[in-house]
Amino acid sequence: MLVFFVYPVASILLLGVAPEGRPDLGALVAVLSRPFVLEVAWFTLWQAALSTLLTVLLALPGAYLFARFDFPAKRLISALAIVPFVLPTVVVASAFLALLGPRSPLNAWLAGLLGGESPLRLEHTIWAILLAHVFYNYAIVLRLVGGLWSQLDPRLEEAARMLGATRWQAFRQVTLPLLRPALASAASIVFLFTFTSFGVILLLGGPRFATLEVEIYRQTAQLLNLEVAAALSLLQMTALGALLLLYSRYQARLAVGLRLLPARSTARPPRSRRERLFVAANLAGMGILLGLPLAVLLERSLARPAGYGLGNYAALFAPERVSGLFVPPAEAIGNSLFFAALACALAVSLGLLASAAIAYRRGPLGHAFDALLMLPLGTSAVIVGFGFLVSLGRLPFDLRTSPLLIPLAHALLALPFVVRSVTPVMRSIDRRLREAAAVLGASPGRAWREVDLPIIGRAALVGAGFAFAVSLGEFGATVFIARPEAPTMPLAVFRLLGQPGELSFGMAMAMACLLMAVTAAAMLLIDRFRAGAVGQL
Amino acid sequence: MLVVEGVVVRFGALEALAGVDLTLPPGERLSVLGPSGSGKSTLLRAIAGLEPPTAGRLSWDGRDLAGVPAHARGFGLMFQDYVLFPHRDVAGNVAFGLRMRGEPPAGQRRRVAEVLAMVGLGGYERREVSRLSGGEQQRVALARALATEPRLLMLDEPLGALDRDLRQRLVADLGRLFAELSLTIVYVTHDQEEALSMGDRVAVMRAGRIEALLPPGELWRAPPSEFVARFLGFNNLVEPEELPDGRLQTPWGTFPSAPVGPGADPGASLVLVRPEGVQLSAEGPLRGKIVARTFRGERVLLRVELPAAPALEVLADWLDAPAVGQQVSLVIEPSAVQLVPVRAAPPSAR
Repeated sequence: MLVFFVYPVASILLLGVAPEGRPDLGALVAVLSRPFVLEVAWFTLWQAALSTLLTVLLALPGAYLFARFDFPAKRLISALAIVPFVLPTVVVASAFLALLGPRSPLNAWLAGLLGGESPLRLEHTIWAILLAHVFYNYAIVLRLVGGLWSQLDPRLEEAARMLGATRWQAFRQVTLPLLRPALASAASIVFLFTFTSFGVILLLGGPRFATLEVEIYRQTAQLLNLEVAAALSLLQMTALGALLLLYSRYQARLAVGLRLLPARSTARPPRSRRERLFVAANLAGMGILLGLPLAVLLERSLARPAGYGLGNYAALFAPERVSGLFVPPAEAIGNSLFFAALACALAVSLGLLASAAIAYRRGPLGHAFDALLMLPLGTSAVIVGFGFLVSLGRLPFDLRTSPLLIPLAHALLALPFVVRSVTPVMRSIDRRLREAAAVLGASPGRAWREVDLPIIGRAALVGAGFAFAVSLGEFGATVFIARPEAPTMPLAVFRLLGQPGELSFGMAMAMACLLMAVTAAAMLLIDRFRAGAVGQL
Repeated sequence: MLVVEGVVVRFGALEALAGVDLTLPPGERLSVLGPSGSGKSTLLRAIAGLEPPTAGRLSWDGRDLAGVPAHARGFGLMFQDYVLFPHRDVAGNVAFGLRMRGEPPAGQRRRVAEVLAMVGLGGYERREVSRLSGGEQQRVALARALATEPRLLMLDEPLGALDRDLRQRLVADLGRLFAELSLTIVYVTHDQEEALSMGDRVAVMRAGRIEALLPPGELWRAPPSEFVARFLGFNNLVEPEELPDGRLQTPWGTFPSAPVGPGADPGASLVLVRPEGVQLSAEGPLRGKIVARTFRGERVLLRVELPAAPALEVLADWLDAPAVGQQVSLVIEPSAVQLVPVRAAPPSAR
């Protein structure tokens, strides 16, 4: 952790503060006060704010739907709605490129209908970015807000109605304030994600738009301007630190003593026509927002110049190299799976140790450790990748060419997910379960094996699934540290998209679909284990 | 035989047990009764070995239990709200203790089936515990505690989470089961009816101490302190004035000197008028208005407000009890009057 996280980040700090080996804050200030830096920072901020607002507004009706109504296939739809969230950024960006770009079937259809040329050319506009962000983060609001909403006693609102409040007043005065903790967490998380958005903006924004993350990448990879990149990283880290601090302050103030009900008891089938209409419209809206991009992605992956077929997939597995990639694309699949397996093993073993340290050791030390482990989540993948790039060459053993480097970076980024899955479960195990085991004759060690281990085991599997999925889809850090001859799947998609021509585009789509399938399989596995896990939700 | 001597359990500044003495001969059923926070559960946990005493001594058949960890004591404990293992099915829960003892699987299966049948859950082996109703969970917890035939079975509010109807049925079931198995039992509850029906003796706890330790009949007949009397539901208590001729003067009338509870000081006693000994009559020295009626099975408890004296509670027949708001006259039978010490006698005097 120290070597692979603190050291790289410290190296960035050093590079930013002292570019020529001696402290020179003037240089830092000079870099940061360039107009283009301010522009980038301002864009980062407002696009994140706007994305967050849009996501919350669009997802609230969905949250209400899942909280209060029963309808056919609810569980399935709820599981499907979370799919976009776990998709790799590259896949999401590809999907929106397919939907809104020049090759979009939607555009072709609209053009045919209205005459003229593709009316929905939104690629390289802010709309594409905002839409992709909403698509991506919809599930966060749905799950967090809908989750709390479904546990609120509906009689609270009924009580307000009996006291003379209109439907809207009851919502404004009772429900909304009670939902505030969940709304605040969801909005903060969405803001954080969109603030550090990298893949979506790099691929969809074109040359006109750049967040801090994208700019760090450009300065490093295209302009070889490491000092500027380091200064930008500093700015980014400071902003994120401030955000996280604000969030934790706010969160502590929000805690309301609520009596929560089992979600099952608060939902009912829609009864009136109005309610049925609401449910149907809501589901249709969700289908268009979340389903259409993926459907188009799939359609494009099957489209060949000569008509539909599996040609794009076949081309991926052809033994010859493709322009833009130095190896046959199929190798990227092997690389990704190999890295993901390694990263997963690393993250889970480290994560279990860390969780035990946090869960069983109360007090300031445990808290500090907890905070330290969450840092990779707050620093963003690009900074981790950049840090690895600038720092690890100076270690006694040169890791930059080691195949272990990517799994290490991925494990670091996945660690918070593992810890977050395991720690609450470790903590929530009722002390009395162990006592019950003791009274029934289990020695302390035996009680731990019989009670804690099986319960933690499931949580660890969930964490492993997350780590696997994170590693598979990881793009921001990988783009810095992967060697050209060993690309991963997201990297292959990125490179293929960078090539002109319909063939490359089709292959990129096909690769994105494969990546989606593998990720979805990992998530399905998680869900199965999570359904059985206890004491966690 | 369990012996508890001067056991103290302290949580920081809070003294959850403030010196408890108790002897439990084999086969006895002891009810522990008290309001919440009086130390009942802590006493159980101390006996079970889950809470090390700050001071005092616990022993079983003369052997000190201080160095014996919970899992080696051979006691059973049924937790409040059951604490079933959520990751195991019914059979997995019930067989847990047998497995810890190294019982072979065939023996485990046989015993599980046996105990489940005993608690009326035959065939429930493969059920998920989270899907069971409250009453079923309660019985699984009981089966789990019974499976290893513990030499002492402790139950912490075993019926607390259940509705009244089920509770009454289970009190009878449990009583029969315990009698059949001739187990040594400590039964903790805050419900007086449950305590009085389950125990051979009843210990009433107050602020970390045992305030009274008596067979249920005696406890009911002569509550040894004001606290116990009020906890058992007696509210007709008033401070008397002793007249020179030995009679007791109260706002409800003057009564001949009444028997005093064992070892108590008559100077610091209250007069208790048992509600079943107050008669409604056409004519009487006390006239008042009925302000409340509470259902008590065959009978009904009336609260009668009197113009110049504290209200009296009267147990009347359900059928001819007057309605709330009616004026009634009351006659107190001399046999209904007894003295209750303000404070319980110290243990040495019992």
